[in-house]
Amino acid sequence: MSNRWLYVLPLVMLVIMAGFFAYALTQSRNPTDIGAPLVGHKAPAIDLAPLHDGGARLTGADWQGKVTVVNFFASWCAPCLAEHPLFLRLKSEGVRLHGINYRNKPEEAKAWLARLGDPYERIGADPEGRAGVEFGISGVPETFVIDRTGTVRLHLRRPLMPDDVNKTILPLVKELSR
Amino acid sequence: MSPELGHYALVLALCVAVAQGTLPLLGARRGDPGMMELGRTAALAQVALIAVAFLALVQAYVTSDFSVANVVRNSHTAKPLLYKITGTWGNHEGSMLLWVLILAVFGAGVAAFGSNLPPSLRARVLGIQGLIGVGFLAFILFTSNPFERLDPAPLNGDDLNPLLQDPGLAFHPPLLYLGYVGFSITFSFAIAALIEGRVDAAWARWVRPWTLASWCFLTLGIALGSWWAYYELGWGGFWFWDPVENASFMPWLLGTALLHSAIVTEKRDALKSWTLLLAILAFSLSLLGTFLVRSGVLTSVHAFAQDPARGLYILGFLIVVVGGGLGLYAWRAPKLAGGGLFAPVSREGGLVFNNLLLATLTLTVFLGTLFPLVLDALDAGKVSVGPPFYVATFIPLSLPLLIAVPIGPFLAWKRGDLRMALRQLVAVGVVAVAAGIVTLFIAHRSVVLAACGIAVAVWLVLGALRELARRIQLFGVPPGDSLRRLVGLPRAAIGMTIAHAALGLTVLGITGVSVWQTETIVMLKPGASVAHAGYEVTLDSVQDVRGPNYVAERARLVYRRDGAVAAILQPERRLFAVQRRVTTEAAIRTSPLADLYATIGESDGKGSWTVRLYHNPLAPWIWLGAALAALGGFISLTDRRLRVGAPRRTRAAAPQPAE
Repeated sequence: MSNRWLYVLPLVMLVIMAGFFAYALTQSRNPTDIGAPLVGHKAPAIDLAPLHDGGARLTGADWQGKVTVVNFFASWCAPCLAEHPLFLRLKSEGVRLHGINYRNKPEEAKAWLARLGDPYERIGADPEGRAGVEFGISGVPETFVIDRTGTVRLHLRRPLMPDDVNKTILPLVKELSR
Repeated sequence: MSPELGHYALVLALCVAVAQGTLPLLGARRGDPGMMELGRTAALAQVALIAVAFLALVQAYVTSDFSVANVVRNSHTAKPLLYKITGTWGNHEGSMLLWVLILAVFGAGVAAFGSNLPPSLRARVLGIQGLIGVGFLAFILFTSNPFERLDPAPLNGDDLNPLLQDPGLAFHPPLLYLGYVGFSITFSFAIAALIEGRVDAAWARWVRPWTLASWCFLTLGIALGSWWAYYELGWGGFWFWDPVENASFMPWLLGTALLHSAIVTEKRDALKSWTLLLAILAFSLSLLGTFLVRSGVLTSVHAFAQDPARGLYILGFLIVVVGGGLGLYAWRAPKLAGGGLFAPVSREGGLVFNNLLLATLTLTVFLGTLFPLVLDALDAGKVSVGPPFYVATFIPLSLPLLIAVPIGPFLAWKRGDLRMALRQLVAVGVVAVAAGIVTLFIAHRSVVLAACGIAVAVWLVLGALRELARRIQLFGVPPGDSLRRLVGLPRAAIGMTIAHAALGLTVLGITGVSVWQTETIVMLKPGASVAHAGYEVTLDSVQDVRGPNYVAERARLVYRRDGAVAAILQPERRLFAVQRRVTTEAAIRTSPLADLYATIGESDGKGSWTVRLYHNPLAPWIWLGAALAALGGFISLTDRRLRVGAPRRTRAAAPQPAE
């Protein structure tokens, strides 16, 4: 009787579901880790208006030819404040550094940079967060390292720590520039 | 000393549970009255033992016994007494202990009040309860021992997560567990019925009060949790479709379906295997909720102690309990005799419609909750399923359900007359549609949704009242006679009217907040003002205040309308010293028409503070509606039919003849 199979259906569903759970538990996956899918792919071709009046636009051409660090920041973001000195250091090390000002009022961002120092060569304004979507960020601050061909090599989904600069970013920039 | 006593009592409880889970089942099979009777004794002994263990843990918390690891991790001497007590269940281990305590209390309830149950059914129900108890007690003892000692004992504890130091959340878990665990009784009844191979009106009559009670507690628990999120998290929202919220919402939806299908089984002896399936699934979803919260397979704002080893244990337990239940169902349910026949348009048909939609809604939430996990497991990418999915699926599915609610009670059993039913509701329908049309013109956004929401809310409230008016023949007979009829109405009918009308009030509240909420976020210096929702709001001052275990900045916001002071709100931003965590304490001024809601954020260091102001029209009705629905349930529980006059089983195992 085909009707009988209807009664087995709930059990079958349970087995399938339990399989997924067992997989999820045993693969020691971290559900909060959303990965860095952009690494190994070309950085998105954005075209952002400058933050500073009279500045140059920030486009995909700005990371061609030289290894570039791109940092998403905002003046309302406390971790950005914490990592900011490290970008001043990166600048002093001669690394090309662009900023994308994420969902921020221009005047507040400018005041913030005036107070803390501006390490960025160019800053694109991203008031609507569109560039953020293109880059697949989940918040600020996030930082990317892009090689000479425009391919993303590193994506950090957190504020920079001194060790990130010393042990990861500076060696990587050096290696990619070779 | 007492932690060891508690631990020892817990071990004893496990031994008793093993006895309770085996001997009565064996006795029922052999027809041995002595062994069957053992189930009652064991259930009563178990509740006493677990109560000892629970009280031992409470005592460790109240006396700040920092030689107990659990107390160290979740308490502090400076914490107010209330939160020392509630901290007992504000953590993984303690909450599991509370869970088994409630499980044992319900088991003892069956043992103590189930004297009108046939002995074999009672023995089997208690046996299944015992087996569930074994699973949970072993889980606690082997993976999550709350009595673990620390040596040397630290001088003070780490304090409880400040977000949990709140009266709303103190009682949210116990209520939720009363609901979750209550479904274990209906589960046990379903399994016992499958073993016995019979489901009849008498069985349904015993199952209904348990379902109803669980449903009421679950309703209150969910409402309390949502209310807490509303005032404590400071986002001005009340439901976030978070996986863990969904985990409590799914048993509620299915429990609601069970509540209604059990009526059909009781009154008409139909839908038996469906009712059994719902009883099994409602508890399965409760277990699933426990699994999701504690295993860490999903991302959620509810970060409980997440540990894969525990996750695997609960998963194994889930498979055994649910798999066993569903396996038994697949084997035995097809043999159950069908019951009374009915036409598609009838009270039964209406309840089937209700069940279909509620089951579909449950499935929707289920898919939305687990989809990210499934996609990830299939390596198909990472997604998160958020409110847009639920809005797009939930509203179209629940709309027909809500529209059907007032119509159902007008339909007769077996064969109803839809035209007659609708004719009685014409006036209500006209008012509802008119309210919807008026809304079209006054809504600012989501105009169509707003109109639907308001119309449905009016339809539900007035439709429920219209049904009551028909029952007491209001305006049909002299008012005195109507009053007499009202007093003489069965409590179950009154409960239904209240619950259905309350549903309308909740819809009203949800619509109000979703459509008319206004939000103002500004930086204000003390003395500065901002216009908000027709008020002029002035930040009077920000003062430092000191609480028992926190320091806070308290803002004083003065709401003025046309120059006259309308309200003063004092939101706080608390810094809890031990955990170094900041919480927002929203200030809320509630009135039947709207909530004024204010929170204060960080200062910019130059004398300005971020101030968030919300004006949430009709918001209080969300929770008032839920509380009223639970009240309706409790009133229905006092119906004397549920206590006396349950139909006796006269015909022996003979199958019920189909009508």
